[in-house]
Amino acid sequence: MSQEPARLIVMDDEPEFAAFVRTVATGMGFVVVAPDDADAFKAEVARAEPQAIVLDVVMPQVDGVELVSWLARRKCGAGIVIVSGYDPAYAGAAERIARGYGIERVTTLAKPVPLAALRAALAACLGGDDTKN
Amino acid sequence: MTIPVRHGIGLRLLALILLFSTSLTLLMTAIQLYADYRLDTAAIANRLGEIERSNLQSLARSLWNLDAGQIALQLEGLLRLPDMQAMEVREAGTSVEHPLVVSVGARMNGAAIARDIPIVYDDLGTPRTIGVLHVEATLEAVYQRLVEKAAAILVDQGIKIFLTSLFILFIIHRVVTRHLADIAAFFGGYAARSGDERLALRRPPPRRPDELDRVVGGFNGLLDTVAGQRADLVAQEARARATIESLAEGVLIVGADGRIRDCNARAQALLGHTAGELVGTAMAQTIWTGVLADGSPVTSENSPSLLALRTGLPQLGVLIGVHAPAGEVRWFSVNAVPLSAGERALTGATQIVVSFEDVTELRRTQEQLVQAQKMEAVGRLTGGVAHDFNNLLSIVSGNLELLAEQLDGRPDLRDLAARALYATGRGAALTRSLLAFARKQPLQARRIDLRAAVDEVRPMLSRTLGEAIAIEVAAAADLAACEADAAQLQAALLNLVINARDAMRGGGKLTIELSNAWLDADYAAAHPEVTPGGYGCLAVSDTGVGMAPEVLRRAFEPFFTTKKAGEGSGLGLSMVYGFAKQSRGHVRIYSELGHGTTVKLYLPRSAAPAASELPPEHARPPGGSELILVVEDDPEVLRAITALLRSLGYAVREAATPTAALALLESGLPIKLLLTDVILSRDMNGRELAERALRILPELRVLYMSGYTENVIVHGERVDSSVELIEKPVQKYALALKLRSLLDKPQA
Repeated sequence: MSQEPARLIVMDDEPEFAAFVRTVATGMGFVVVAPDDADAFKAEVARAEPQAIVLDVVMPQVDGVELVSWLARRKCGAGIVIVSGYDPAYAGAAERIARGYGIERVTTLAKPVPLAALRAALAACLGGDDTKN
Repeated sequence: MTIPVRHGIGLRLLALILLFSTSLTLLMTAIQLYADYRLDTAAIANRLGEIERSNLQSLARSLWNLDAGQIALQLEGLLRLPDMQAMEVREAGTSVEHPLVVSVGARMNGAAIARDIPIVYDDLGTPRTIGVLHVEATLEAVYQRLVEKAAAILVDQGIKIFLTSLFILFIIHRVVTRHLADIAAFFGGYAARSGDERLALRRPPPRRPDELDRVVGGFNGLLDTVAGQRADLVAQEARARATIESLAEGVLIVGADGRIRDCNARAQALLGHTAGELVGTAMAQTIWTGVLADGSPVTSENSPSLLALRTGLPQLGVLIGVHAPAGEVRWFSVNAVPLSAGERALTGATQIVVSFEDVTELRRTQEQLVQAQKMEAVGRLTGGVAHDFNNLLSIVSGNLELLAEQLDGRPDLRDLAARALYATGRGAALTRSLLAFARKQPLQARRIDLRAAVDEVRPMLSRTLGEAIAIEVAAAADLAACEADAAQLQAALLNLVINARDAMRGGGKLTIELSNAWLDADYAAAHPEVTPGGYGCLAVSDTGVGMAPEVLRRAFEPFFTTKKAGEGSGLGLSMVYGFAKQSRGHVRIYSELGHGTTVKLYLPRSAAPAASELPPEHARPPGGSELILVVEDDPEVLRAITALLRSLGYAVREAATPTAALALLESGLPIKLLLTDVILSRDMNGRELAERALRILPELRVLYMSGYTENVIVHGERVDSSVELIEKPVQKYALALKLRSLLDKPQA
C-alpha cells in the first residue's frame, strides 16, 4: 500500500448504492468521491488520478460504455469495477472495450452485489498485477 | 306472325277502291241520266211546238166548222206521236153556251207535260181565238228509258270496277303485301334466330331498286348494327364475367329481393357451395352460418348485404366468420355495395354487389403479432421493473451485509439481519425470473447432456412433487447433446414440474421424456422464431386437469396464472418461454381439459446431428395419392395437416368432429387411411372413432396423432400400444414415412 490513501471514484445513478460502495470502500481505507454527472466524473478523474473506479454502465443520463471508452482512451491506470443491474450484455461490452484499450484491471459485477465480491474487486484494484482479477 | 287476311292492306284497298269507284260511277250515271232526261223532255217540248205549228190550222178550221168527227180524227192522229198521252180540244168564247169538247186519250195523274195551246182561226183576216188545244205528253216512257239505261250502265260499270279491283288486289299482293308479310314474318322470328340472317325478298330483283329494296336495305343495315352491338355486348359480358372470375375475392350479386343472383367461382370455393346451391338463396336465410366479429350471429338485421339493400349505403370491411362445411370458421372481410343510381337506371333494379376475401390467415397473423407485441411490451415493462427493483435490492442487501458484519457480537440481531438477507436473496431470484422472461438474463450456454441435467435435479423434483405423484423419466438411448444454460434449464424444468404438481391435486403421474427431435422447414415457416434443424426435446407430461383453450392461449404471459393469489407468481411458464427464446429453442404446450398437459421444450443441438438420423431435408419425402380422412378438432392444426398431406400428393377429406368423420366414412368414399387426433370430443375419442371406422371399412389403416407423447398416450390407455401414433408437432418427413409404411403394409 502507498502512504497516501487510495482514491476511489464511484459513479452510480442510484445515490444509495453509491453510499453503500462508499461505506465499504472507506472501510478498506479508500478516499471516496461520488460525482453526480458525467462531466463531474471526468473532472474528478482528471484531478484525483484514482486507483479505483466503480461505474454503473446503465444510467439514465450517462452512457457507462461511453465513459469506459473515455477512460480507456485516457490510458487511465485505475482498476475499474463495472456494475450492472440490467442487461449483462452492456457490462460485457464495456469490459471488452476496456480490455481492447489495454486496461487490464477490469471487474464486472452484477447487482445485487455481494459484499464479499465488492471487497475482492476493490482489493484487486489496489493490488496491482499480482492481485488482479 | 301472320296478319289475318280480313285485316290486310289488300282488302282494305279493295274496299276503298270499290267504294270510290262505285260512288264515282253513281255520280257520273246520275249526271248522264239527267242530261238524257233533259234531252227527252226537250224533244217532247219540240214535238208540242211542231203540233202547234203544223196542225193548229186544220184543227182551227175543223173547230170553226164544229166538225167534231174531224177533230177527233185529227187528235187521234196526233196522239200517235211519241209520248202523247191525251188531247182535248175545247171551244172557247164568251158567247158559247155549250162549248164543244173533243177528247182523246186518257188523262193521267202521273208525271206529264201539259200545254194549253190557243186555237186561233183567221176569220177573214181577223184572228179569233175559238178554242184551246190541251195536250198532255207523258213522261213515263222517258222514265222507263232512264231506268233501263241506268241499269245497263250500272251493271256494266260494276263488273268492270270489280274485275279491275280484283286485278289491283292481285297486283298489290304480288308486288307489295306478299313482301310485307315476309318482312313481318322475318322480324317475328328474328329474336329466336342467330343474328347472322339477313332479310331477302322472294322476287327477281328489279332493274332499279324500288321502295321495297330501300326498306330491305334499311332493315339489313339496322340488323348489321344490331348484330355488331350484340357482339359487343356479348364480348363485354364475357369480359365482365372473366374479370369477376379472375378476382381473388368472392363476389355475390344480390337482387332487390335479397336473393343471390350470381356468384363467381371464388365465392363458391370460399363458401363451400356450388353456384347451383348459392343462386336463389335468400341472404336472410343463408345456407351457411355466419357470425360477426363479436360472436353474435348474422341476421337479416345486421347482414351487410341486406343493410346495404335497406339503406342504400355501402357496408365496407365487415368481418364475418363463416362455418365452412368442414366445420371450421373462416373469417371474411365483406363489402356490400349497392349499384349507383346511374347503374340502377341501366339495370332497372337495385342490386348489391357483395365482395369478400378470406382474412383468416391475416387475422391469425395479426393476432400473433398482437400477442408477440404484447409479450414484447410486457417484457420491456417487466425488464424495467426488474432493473429498478434489483437496484433497490442491491442497496438493501449490501447494507444488510454491512450491518451483519457489525453484529458479530450480537447473534440475536445478526440473525434478524440474516433473515432479511435471505429475503433479499429470494427477491433477487424473482428479479432473475423476470429478467429471464425479458431476455435480459445472462445465459451461460454450454454443451450439456439433457439426461445428466435432469438426473441432477431429480431428487429435488421428487421432493417438490410429494408422495401422491409418481415420476418417470424416459430418455432416448442416442440422446444428443444440446446447447443451453444448465442452471436455467433446471429452473425451467422445476417450474414445469411445479405447474404439473398444481394440476394434479389428487395425485397422478409425471413423465419426463428426453428425445431427439427435428423441426422441419414447413414447421419453421409457420413459427418464425424457429430455425429448422435438429433439437433435443424435453417433454414434461402430467395427468392433471388440463387447460381450456383460452387459458392455453395466455399460458406464456407473465403474471397470468390460474392459481390462487399467493400460490404462484404467474411467471413459471413465462420464464420457460423466455428461456427457450433466449436459447434459440422452442416451446409448445398441448393440453385438453381433463386430459392433462404436455409441455415440449426444444433446445438446439450442440453439434450438427449425425447424417444417419436426419431426415434429408432436401430429399423428396415419399408421397402417395390415396384418399386420407383427417379428423382434428383444432382448425389450425387441421388446416396445417391437410396442406401437408396435399403437398405429399394425397387426396384429403377433413372432419372436425367424429360425427362428421363417420358420415364421410359411410358415404362410400374410397378412404384408405384414417388420421385422427387421439383426444377428440367428450363423447368419442380417437380410439372409439377408429373402432367404429374399422367396422365400416375393415381394410382401413389408422394413424393416430397427438400432442401428448406416445409414452403418455399409451400408458394413459387412451390407445393400444400396438397402434401407430405420430406426435405433434407433425413433421412432414416423419409423417410421409409413417403413411407409406402403413399404406404399403399388407393387410393382416
